[in-house]
Amino acid sequence: MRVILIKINTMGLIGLFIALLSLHAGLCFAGSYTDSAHGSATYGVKRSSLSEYARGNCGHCHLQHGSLGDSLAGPFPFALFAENFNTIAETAPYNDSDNDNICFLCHGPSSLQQGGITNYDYSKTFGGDSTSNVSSILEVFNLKKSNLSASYHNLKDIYDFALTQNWPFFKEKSNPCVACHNPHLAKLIRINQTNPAAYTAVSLPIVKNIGNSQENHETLWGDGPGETMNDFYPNHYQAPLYYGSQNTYEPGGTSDYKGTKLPDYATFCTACHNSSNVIYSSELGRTLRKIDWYTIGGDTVNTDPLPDKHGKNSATVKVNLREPYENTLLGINIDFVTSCTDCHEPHGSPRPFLLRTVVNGKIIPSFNIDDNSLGYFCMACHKDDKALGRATQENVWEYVHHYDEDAPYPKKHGDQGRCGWCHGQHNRPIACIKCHQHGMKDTWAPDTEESGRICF
Amino acid sequence: MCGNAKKIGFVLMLTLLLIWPLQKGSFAKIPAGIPCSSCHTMHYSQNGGVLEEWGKHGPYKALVINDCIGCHTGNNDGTNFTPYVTSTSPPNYGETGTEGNTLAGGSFYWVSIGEEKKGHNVVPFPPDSRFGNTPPGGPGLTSQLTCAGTTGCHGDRNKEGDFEALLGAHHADDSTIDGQTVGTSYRFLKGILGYEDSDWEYQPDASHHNQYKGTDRSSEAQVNTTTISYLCAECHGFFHSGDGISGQSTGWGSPWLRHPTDYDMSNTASGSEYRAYPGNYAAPRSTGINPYSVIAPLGSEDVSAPKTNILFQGQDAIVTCISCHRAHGSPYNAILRWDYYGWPQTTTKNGCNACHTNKD
Repeated sequence: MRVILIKINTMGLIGLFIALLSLHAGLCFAGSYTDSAHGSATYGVKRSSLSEYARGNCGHCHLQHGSLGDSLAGPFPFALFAENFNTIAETAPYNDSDNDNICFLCHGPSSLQQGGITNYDYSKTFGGDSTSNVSSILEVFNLKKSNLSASYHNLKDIYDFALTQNWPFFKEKSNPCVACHNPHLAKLIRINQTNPAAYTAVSLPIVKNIGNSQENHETLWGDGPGETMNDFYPNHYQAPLYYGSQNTYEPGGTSDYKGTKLPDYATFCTACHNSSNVIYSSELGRTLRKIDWYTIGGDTVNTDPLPDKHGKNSATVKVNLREPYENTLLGINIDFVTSCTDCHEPHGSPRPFLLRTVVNGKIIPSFNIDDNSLGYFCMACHKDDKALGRATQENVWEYVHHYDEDAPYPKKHGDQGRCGWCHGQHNRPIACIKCHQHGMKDTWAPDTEESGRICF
Repeated sequence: MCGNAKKIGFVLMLTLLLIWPLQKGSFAKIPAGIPCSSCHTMHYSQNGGVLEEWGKHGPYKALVINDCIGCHTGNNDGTNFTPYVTSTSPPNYGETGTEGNTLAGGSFYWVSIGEEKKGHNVVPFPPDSRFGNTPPGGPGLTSQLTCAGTTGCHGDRNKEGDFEALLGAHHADDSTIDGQTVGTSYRFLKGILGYEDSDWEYQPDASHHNQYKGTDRSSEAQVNTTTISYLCAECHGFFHSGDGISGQSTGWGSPWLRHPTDYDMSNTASGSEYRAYPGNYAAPRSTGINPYSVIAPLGSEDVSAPKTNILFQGQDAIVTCISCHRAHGSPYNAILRWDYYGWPQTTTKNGCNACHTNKD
């Protein structure tokens, strides 16, 4: 035993020595800036007016001395060439001419970048099409200029919220875009529609341990092991269909149906939009609904907020879903999890609540958030009565709610007078969001009618 | 025996006296043993003419054989006792000026051939066509930049003229660099402190290099007149001493409005990218953690000896102007030490990454 032990120790020492040698030989401080969209020597930053600087060079964004040549404009925080973010710009529309946000000087229709930058919205880039007709980030934030129903991720709200979080990277002079993106790391995701995980543009604002590695704002999110939607809840994420297709999926229209190339946007978005953070929306004039995307337990859970069934929580009996969910290769028929990006745009949308214009491969017609026309949105994944062969018109949900085997409000003979308790005197359809919002039960319904089910 | 011993002792002492000044850390700027005629001429005439190695526009003050640029033009080879700051043929700068035949200040060669962005535009080279006599970040000079004198970097700026400003400095005892006189100031930069590498950083390595004086400032207004960055700020003020350096409403730190100098990176968070200095840019023959970089050198408050490693325990990780720039000139725009403008397209060498290690 002793001899063997000595041998092991000797072998161990030799191994350690070799390992140390290897470590020394391989010691290389390779950052990721030159792999990023901004730092690439091939397609990185290149302001048209700065011919002397190579593409990807720091000088396109940063002026080391707060001046450029004989111009002493500025100086601006982080030695940027313009104001980082103008906190006076509390709501959209944002301006590129007034330097509301330095990012928009390049990511806008009047881009300073040589050749300009085309950024379509998520629906078009990864879903295949969109009806928003925008081609830059600034335009998508400013959709409200032409469409009162439009919504956007209010940058001042993000800024205010970020400051309360004491994230080490976010300072008083920071740009709210930085809450989601690390400009020195973010990759060129827009031209890598089929594999956005490998070319992810987001970084977590919080610290998260994945195995032995730590993810934070100094790392990219989505590109490593354990960072895709499939990893969020293995074999429970069914990717939605790609626009116009019956057998290819988001992102990018490939045969990958499990989200193995989609960044784990559930984890990413819930870094802020979670069950505890209080986030004020100046657009809505209220705090946002808290979201629990993690807790399971079906309808038996009674936490605050209630865990979403679009998250890891699940319907308890059945749900009438369209393809690709109905016959998914995942081998499940309930208990799916969705990615936030399956329904929401990250920056802005012509629809309310940043809801997408193309969902599950279908263009969604305009809808109002405060009536049942929102059902057209839900129909992208959920079967309405027509899809179930129970109605001739679209966006009718009577069978689902009252007659299906798992209907929450089963109709009985002699109930006619009871309809008005929920549907009112004229027996009108009920606006979906009365019950179907993040973390909601049907507490809107009269006490006698409440099913007690979690409705989202 | 006694007489022989005395003779031997005398010879030994004489030998030591002759050799000592030639060793590293020698006392006088002009080593002993160098004939006076190497630098001086009594009559600016020899055999009725001017010698080939003399300047052609004499006679010169202080009976010297040439002006500043004239004497300091040549090719460094590591043994020359005159530091050559320019040359008549392209020097071998290499990618970072640390492996060829240029010295710590770089070379005026490029500005001498009209590439005005690549050197300080000192007389006798043409003034800068864009900035004239106004150094970026500072007020205009009364006349063109000179090596020394009222509009110069070296010598006593209260005295007009290269020779007057440097008078006696080349012969001063500089065994102690105290900044009290021109001769006892770092590289004759009056008032500035630092450790002087004996061969002016000819092919420097981890233990053979200048050690630049810096200070760990705690505010924009704080001024230490002995630092190398202060010297630069005497002309390029805004870039160092203005009130537009730190973007913090109070205090001193990020977000910076301009790149900080006389800022100690020991003040950064322990896990920050700066603590990985010098990244891929360690000096030749370096060992251990955080070795010194001769490509992107850091200053220190203690300049009694060259630092081989940066300890990040305060006062030894100080960003200076010449962490990025060469004082005299380089083959690159803005007198940068490396080809910053070309990175990352035409070069992978970017000394910025010695500190910004995550951006490599």
